[in-house]
Amino acid sequence: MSFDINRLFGASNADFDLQAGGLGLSTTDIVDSYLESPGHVLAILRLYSKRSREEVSAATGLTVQMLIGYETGAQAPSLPDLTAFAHCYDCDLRFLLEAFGHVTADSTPSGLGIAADFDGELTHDEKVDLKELVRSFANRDSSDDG
Amino acid sequence: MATNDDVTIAAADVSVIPHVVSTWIPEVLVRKAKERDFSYRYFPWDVIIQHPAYCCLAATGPGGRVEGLLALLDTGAEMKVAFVSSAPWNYGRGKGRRGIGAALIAVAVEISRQRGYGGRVVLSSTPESEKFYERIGFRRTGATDGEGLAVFHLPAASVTRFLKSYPPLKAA
Repeated sequence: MSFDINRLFGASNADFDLQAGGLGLSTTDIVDSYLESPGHVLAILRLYSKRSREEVSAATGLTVQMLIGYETGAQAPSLPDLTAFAHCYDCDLRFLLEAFGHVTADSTPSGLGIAADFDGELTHDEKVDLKELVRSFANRDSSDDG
Repeated sequence: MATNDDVTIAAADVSVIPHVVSTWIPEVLVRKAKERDFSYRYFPWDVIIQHPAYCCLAATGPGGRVEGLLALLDTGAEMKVAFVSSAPWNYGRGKGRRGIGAALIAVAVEISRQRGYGGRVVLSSTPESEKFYERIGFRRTGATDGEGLAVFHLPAASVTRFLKSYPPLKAA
């Protein structure tokens, strides 16, 4: 194939490629369809960060046994644990909440309300914390952009 | 900038599915997680490729790495690009290949021409790709699809220019 899109249409196109046909699958759909457990997302993130479980354990304060349980899907991480993973892997907390089915893809306030049910075990204060937590990450994203 | 001289475009069948799932899915998830970029759309290619209505093509690089996928639908009057996507590592500001999606679209135009549709191609563009489609000659039809995406077509007047810009490619 002899083809260079940038030569033909200008360097301004260098930053993306074409997509067409639909809006695609949500994070939750991808996890449900292709992974045996949302915990595998944590394993993927760790492998891509090229860190051992021992290193992640040291960074998060979670035991290696807990990490094994989470990554294999044998156990479900708590909200504070997901927050620790988000910090450890420098990734989006909202993504992890979506992957583990705690928020819907649109993450609207009503979506966060659904998330606040969170296994039905959260107290009122904890539900507020969840909203604040996601909001704080959103604010951090904005400040990063600026 | 990597060239695509080592990429071939050929009919895709179920044999590419394990490779696509095992390489694209982790990339998509890491991209969404770490880059906070939700603009990349993952389509259920395993389902699409097995769907009898679609003619699917794969752009494949060295080692059988699937760099892009295209699903075409013959409407009887034109070729419809049902789905097209480059591999997640080729999308955005990464170090991947450029122009894989456009190369696949060029194949769609060529197939349309060969089937007597004058090169006419229609597609529903994601919002992120709309400007690019317009730039390469596609025009809005004014319609939207079931997901609210704007429908574009490559008018006959643009086909010649498009095919001049792209080397004629044939599906193997």
